[in-house]
Amino acid sequence: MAPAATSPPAPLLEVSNLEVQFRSRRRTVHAVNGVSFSIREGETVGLVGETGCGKSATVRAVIGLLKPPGRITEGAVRLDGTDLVDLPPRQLRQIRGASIGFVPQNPFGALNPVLRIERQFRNVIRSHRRGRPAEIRRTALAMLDAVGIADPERVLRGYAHELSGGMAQRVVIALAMVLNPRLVVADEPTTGLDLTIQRQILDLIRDLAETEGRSMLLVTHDVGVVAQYCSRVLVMYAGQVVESGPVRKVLTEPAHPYTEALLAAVPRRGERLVGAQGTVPTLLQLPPGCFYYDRCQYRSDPRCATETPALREVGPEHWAAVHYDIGADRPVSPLRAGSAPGSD
Amino acid sequence: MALVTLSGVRKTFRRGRSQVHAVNGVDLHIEPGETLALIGESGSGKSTVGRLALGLLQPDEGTVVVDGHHLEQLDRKALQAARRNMTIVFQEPFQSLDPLMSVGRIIEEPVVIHEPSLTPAERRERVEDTMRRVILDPGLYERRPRELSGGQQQRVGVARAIVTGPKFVVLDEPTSSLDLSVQAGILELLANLQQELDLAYLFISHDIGTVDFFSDRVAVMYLGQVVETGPKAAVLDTPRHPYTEALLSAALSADPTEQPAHISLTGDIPSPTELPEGCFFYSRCGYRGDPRCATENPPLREVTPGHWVATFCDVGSTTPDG
Repeated sequence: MAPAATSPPAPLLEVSNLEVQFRSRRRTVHAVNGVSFSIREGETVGLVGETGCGKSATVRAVIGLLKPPGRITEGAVRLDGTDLVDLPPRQLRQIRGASIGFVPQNPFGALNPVLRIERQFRNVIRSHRRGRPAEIRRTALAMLDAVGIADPERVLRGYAHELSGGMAQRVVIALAMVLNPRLVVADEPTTGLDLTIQRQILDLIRDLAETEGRSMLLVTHDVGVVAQYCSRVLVMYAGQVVESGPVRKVLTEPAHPYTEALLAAVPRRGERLVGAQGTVPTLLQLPPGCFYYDRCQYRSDPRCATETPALREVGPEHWAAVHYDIGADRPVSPLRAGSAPGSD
Repeated sequence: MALVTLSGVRKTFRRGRSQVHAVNGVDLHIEPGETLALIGESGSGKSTVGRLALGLLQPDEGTVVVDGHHLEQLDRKALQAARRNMTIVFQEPFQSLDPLMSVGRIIEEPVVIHEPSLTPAERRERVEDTMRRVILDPGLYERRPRELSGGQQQRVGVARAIVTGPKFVVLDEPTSSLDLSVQAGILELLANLQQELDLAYLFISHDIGTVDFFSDRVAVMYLGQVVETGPKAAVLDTPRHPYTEALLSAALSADPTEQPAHISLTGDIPSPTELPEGCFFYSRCGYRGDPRCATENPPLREVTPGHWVATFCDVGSTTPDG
């Protein structure tokens, strides 16, 4: 066997067997249950799933901003080989601030309402390096210009409440990128923004990532965002990654019944919509078998009820946590499922 | 005859010393049993139009006729009586349900108001029938809204809207706060109810995919005006207004093999406190050229049967078909 001409580059981010729990005296919520994935240099990976699937807890764990009572109970988060999980807070802050840029869903929650924008740039930059006010100002102006702010001088002098939603998100992106991070984590960065603004913000984030060869983890509930902006996708359900692989493969030939159901719920003209059946497990007590068992249209394998399926490779770089092969029973690509002949 | 007709409707709100011109001369009509989708971005005035169509707001100018009643001429009592025929489903199901009331009482309330002659037993029967109709277990009658899932809460909102047997329902972004799989169930339900009950819907939405799935005709709003309206396929497949064209091109296809070209708009929507002279879209338009664009507000003109557009330019003739 001939050796590969170039060995695949080591992943920038490697999450292995991550578990996150939210414990209170009365109960424990198993929010993330053994999630493993990696992101290579320069790659944009989408993380998609519905409310309560654990995508936000996963992201918060990755960037070390999990809020109590949430905590990582198991697993590792390696950035460039360094495990961030047990790092002392000071060191974690240094690495995280400089290497990971975070763009949250609500820009107004991320900006300090009582500090001028210029002061917020100074705080971010000064927590990681020295800088004279004039130089910091120049850096901030250049960054605001790069994110498409028409009048950066005025924005720098002003406060968050003077900005529109789209402008505020641009400022947050500028703050996230100002230390030149190698990994950008964006958690629903355009939810709540208008369609035309959403498109501009996503284009901006992508361009800023691409020009510097940054890696990106893009969390979303919108299949369209994944389809148009990501190269690989992770599908989460009940705190687990149930499928992962190249976007073109996963969205056209899903191997997990949950992914298939999610795609069938995207509204399209003249096609029937298929809503969800059954219920999502509560995450207070994890079910013994497959977490998707209660809603699954395909369950048949005796192991479905008793054994939680592990991710297995179903195609090149394409993984799914399922005991059987749904492809065999599927007449057409799910993106066209409703228009299949004979379907009604 | 149209069930709902808005003619020349204007609405201005006062904000401090300035005037916010929310709706600036809107003409719309909705036929019995059809869905008119109203799309546009924040601040385009689509929710205000929804409230005007229900008589929840009074227009400053123009008329609103629903089922033969001129809403702006009705007194309080007559308007309340007319409300039996026209209802609304709100965007945030939880926030639109009284947290202290049981699910059953929430659904029952409109019946108490509009059909006072019914006995409690008859009302209970009506509520339980309606719950079954929206696929909500009547066993949930005594529950509070917070005990229900988001999808169940929205089914309560739908049940409350249809319990008096209306002909016209405004759906104000009814699924935008719901997950995809839950949204699918609600849209399916609304489509089935429309068929069974011959409901006319004004479907306010910013999601093009949902509009494409759900509506018969589409009206596109920009800065308080309808800039384009027509049959769904005509508007969505062959948009003739430059704003519609840009808006549609910003929608993200869920099919990774489709990557339609995106027309990026520059600048922001002008302030509704100071309406521009000329075409409201002038400052962001890539097609402006006609001398009238800067000075005259273009009226709607019919470009193909039923397809109306408010422009001086012609998008359809200068772009390759999409």
